[in-house]
Amino acid sequence: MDLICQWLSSNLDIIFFIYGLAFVIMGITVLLQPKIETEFKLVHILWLLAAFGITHGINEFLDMWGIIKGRNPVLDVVRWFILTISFILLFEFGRQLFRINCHKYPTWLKNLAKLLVCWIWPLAVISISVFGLLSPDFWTIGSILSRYILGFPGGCLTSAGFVLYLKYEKEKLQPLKVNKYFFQAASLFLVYGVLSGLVVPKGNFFPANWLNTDSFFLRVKIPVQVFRAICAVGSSVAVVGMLGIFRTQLKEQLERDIGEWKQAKEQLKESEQRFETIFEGMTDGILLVDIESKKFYIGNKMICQMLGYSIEEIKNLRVMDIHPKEELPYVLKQFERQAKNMIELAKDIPVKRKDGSIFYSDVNSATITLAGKTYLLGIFRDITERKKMEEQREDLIKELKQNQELLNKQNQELDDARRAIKNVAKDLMVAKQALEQQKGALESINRELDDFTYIVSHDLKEPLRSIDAFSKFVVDDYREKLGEEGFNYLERIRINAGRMQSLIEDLLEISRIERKKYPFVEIKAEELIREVSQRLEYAIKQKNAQLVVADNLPVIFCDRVRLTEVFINLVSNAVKFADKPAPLIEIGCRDKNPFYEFYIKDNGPGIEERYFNKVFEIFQRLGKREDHEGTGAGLTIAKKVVEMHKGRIWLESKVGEGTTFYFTISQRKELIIGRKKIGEMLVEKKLVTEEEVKQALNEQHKMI
Amino acid sequence: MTETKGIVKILFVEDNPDDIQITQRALKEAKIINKLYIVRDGQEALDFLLHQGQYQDPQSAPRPGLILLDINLPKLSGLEVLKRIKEDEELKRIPTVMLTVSKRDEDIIRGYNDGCNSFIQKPVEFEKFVEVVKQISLYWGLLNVSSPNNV
Repeated sequence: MDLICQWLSSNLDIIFFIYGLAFVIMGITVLLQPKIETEFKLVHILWLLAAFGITHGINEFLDMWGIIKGRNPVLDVVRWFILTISFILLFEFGRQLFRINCHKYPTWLKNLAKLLVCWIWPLAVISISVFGLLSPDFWTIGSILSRYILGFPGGCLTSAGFVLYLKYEKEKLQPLKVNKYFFQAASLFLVYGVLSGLVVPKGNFFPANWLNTDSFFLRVKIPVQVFRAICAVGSSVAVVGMLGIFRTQLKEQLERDIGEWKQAKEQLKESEQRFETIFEGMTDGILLVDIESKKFYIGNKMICQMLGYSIEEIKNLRVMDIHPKEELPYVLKQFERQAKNMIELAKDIPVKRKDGSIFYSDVNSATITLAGKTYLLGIFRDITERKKMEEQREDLIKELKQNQELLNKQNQELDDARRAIKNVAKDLMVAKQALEQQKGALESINRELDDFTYIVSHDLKEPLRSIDAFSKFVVDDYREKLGEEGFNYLERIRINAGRMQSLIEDLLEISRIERKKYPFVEIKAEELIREVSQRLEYAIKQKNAQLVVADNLPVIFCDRVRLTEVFINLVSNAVKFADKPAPLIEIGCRDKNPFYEFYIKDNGPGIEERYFNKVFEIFQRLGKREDHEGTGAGLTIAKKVVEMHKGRIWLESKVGEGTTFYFTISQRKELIIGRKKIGEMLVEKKLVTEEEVKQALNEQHKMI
Repeated sequence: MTETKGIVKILFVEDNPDDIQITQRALKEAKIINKLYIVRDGQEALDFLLHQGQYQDPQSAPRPGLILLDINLPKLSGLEVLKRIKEDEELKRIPTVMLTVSKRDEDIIRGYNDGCNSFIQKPVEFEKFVEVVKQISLYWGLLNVSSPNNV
C-alpha cells in the first residue's frame, strides 16, 4: 500500500496526464458525436461539457508540465485562465442542465432553478478577480477562488442536473438502458466537485488553510489528483456511455430513414411505372423539348409512330426538323407562345414525318422544369382524320345547300305546276259541270227516245199481229175461194208483217243496249268463243265451213252476254255470206295495250271499200233482201257493244278474197266501268284539296 | 164450245178484241177445249176473281185453273193485277201466264217479282202463237187437250 502511495506521489505527472487525457477524450468524443435530430435537449448543451473536458484536460496537462518543468509566472497565468474558463464551462453546463426541465419541476425546485441566472458566472469571475487582486499572490488565490466559487458549484449542479434529467426524462431514457451512466456521472461529478472544488491548493485563509491538497495528502497519503483522475476517467466513461442514447437514436433514425428511403424508392419505382404506362400508352404523341435549344429530350412510342422516327433519332432532332419549312415561322411563333405559357393549345399545326409527308395535329403544351432546365411538354393529336371529316362535312353542307336550292327551285316549279293544275282543275270543273248538265239532258232525251221507241214498236206490233192472224184465218178458211193469186197476196202480206216485226224487234234491241246492262265479269276469251262456236255449230256444218280459233287468247273484262252476241253476229255473218267451197273463218286476238284487238277473218266474197262504214249503219244491207235473212241491225248492235267496252270496230276487205272484222276492247277496268270524276281524281292524287275545288267552283260562279 | 164442267177453267184478261179473237182461235187450233172466261180490263179481272161487282155470284165466276193475263190493260195494268193476285193467299196458287208484246215487258216482269209463273210473248206470226200457247198449256199440265176428232 505504501509502495503504491509512494509510486503515485512520485509519478504525479503520469496521474495528471491520465487525468487530462480522460477529460480531453471525453470532450473530443462529445464533439465528434454526429449532430442528429433528437428530442433530448441535453444534446444542445453537451458542447459545454465537451469544452470543459478539453480545457480542463489541457489545464491538467499544464499542471503536469509545471511539475516536470517547475513553476513559472507565465505558466501560472495561463493555468489560472484555463482553469477558470474550464470551471466557468462546467458551472454553465451544470446550471443549464439543472434548468433544462425547469418547467416540469415542483415549485420549490423551480424557484431554486430560477435563482440560477446566467450572469452568475460573470459575477463570480469579477469577485474572484477582486479578491485575487487584494491578495499578494493573485494566481494562487485566484485559482483557489475559482475552485470554490465555480468548480465546486459546477460539479454539484452538474451532478444534480444529471439526476433531475434522468428523473424527468425517465420514460424516454429507460428503454435506452443508460440509467447507470447517469447515476455514475452524477455521483462522480459530485465527488469531483468536492475533490476539485473544495480540496484546493494550500492558502493562508480558511478553509484553504485547513482543507487543501497538502492536508489531504497528509491524511490520505495519496495525492488528491489520483482521486480526481479516477473521477475524471469514471465520469468520462459515464458521459461517453450516455452518448449511447444518441447512438441508439441515430441507429433508429438511420433505420427509419432507410425504411423511408426504401419506401420512397418503391414509390418512385411505382410512379415511374405509372408514368411509363401513361406516357407510352398515350394515344397522343408526347414530346419533351428543351425550350432553349429546341432539342427534343424525350418522346413516347406514339410520337415515334406518328413521325416515323425511332426514339434515338428523335433525341437528335430539333423543333425545326419536324415541321415543313414554309410553315416554320408560324409554328415557331406558336412554340414561343406556348413556351411563355401564353397559350396552351396550338391548333392545326402541320407536322412533317420522316418520309416527308405532312399531317396536321393539335398540340397541347405545358412547361415543366427538370433539374433546373425548362422544357416544353407537347401533346400531339393527329387531326388529319378530323380535318378530312370537317372538309367532307363542309363539302356535304355545300352539296346540301345546293340541293336545298335545287329543291327550292323545284318546289317553286312544283308550286307553279300546282297552280297550273288548279287552274286546269277549275277549267275542268266548269267543263265537267257543263258536261254533266249536257249528259243529264242527253240522258233524259235518251230515256224519252227509248220510251218512244218502245211505245212505237209495241203499238206497231199489235196491228201487225192482227194483220198476220186475220190473213192466216182468211187463208185457212177461204183457201178455195181465194185461188192461187189471192193466196199469194195474203202470204206476201204475212211475210211483210213478219219482216216488220223483226225490224221493230231490232229497233227495240238497239235502244235496249244502253238501257239494259249485264254485269261485267272477268272471263277467258277462249271460253266465250267456245260458246259462240257451239251455238253456231249447226250453221257452220251446213256451210261446210272451218272455224279456226287462235290459242293465245287473253282473259278479258266484259259484258259476257253482249260480247258473245258480237262474236255470234260477226261469225254468223261470215258463215252466212260464205261463197267458197271451203269457207275458212279465223278468230284471234292481239295484245295492243291498253286494248285487246280481236279479229274475225273470213275468205268470203269481201266488201267494197266504199261500204266499209256503211255496214255499221242501222238497217243497211248489202245483199239482196231475198238472198239473205236478217234486218241489217247486227253490225250496228256489235258497234254499240264494242263502244260500250271503250273500243272500236272496223274492217278490212278485198272483194273476192275475204273480209276481216277487227274490234278492240279496253284492258282497263276503270275505263269500262266508268271514269272517275275529275275532281275526285285530283283530290285523290293530293294535287288539290276539296276546299280548293269548292273555292275554285265558287270563284267560277262569281265570274259567271 | 162444249160443256167443260170439271175441267180446268181459264180466265183470259184482254182488252184488244183482235187479240181475244186470235187467242180464242189459237187455243182452238192448239186443241185446248177448256172453258175460257174473258174479262176486258184489270179491274174486271179482280172482280171476277174476288167475286165483286158484276161477278158477285160465284156461279158466274168460278175459280180458274189458269190465268192468261195481258200486260197492257185499261184501268188496272196487268202487272198490278198480278201483284194483287199474288198477295191473295188463295189466288196466288193459280198459275198466271203473262202475255207480252216485247222483251222489254219480260224484263219488267222479271224485275217485278217471281209471282208470274210464265209469260208468252205474243208473236206476230199466228202459227208461232199457237205453238207457244200449246207449249205453255202442256207445261202446266192442267188442261185437257181434246182429240183432233172433236174439232
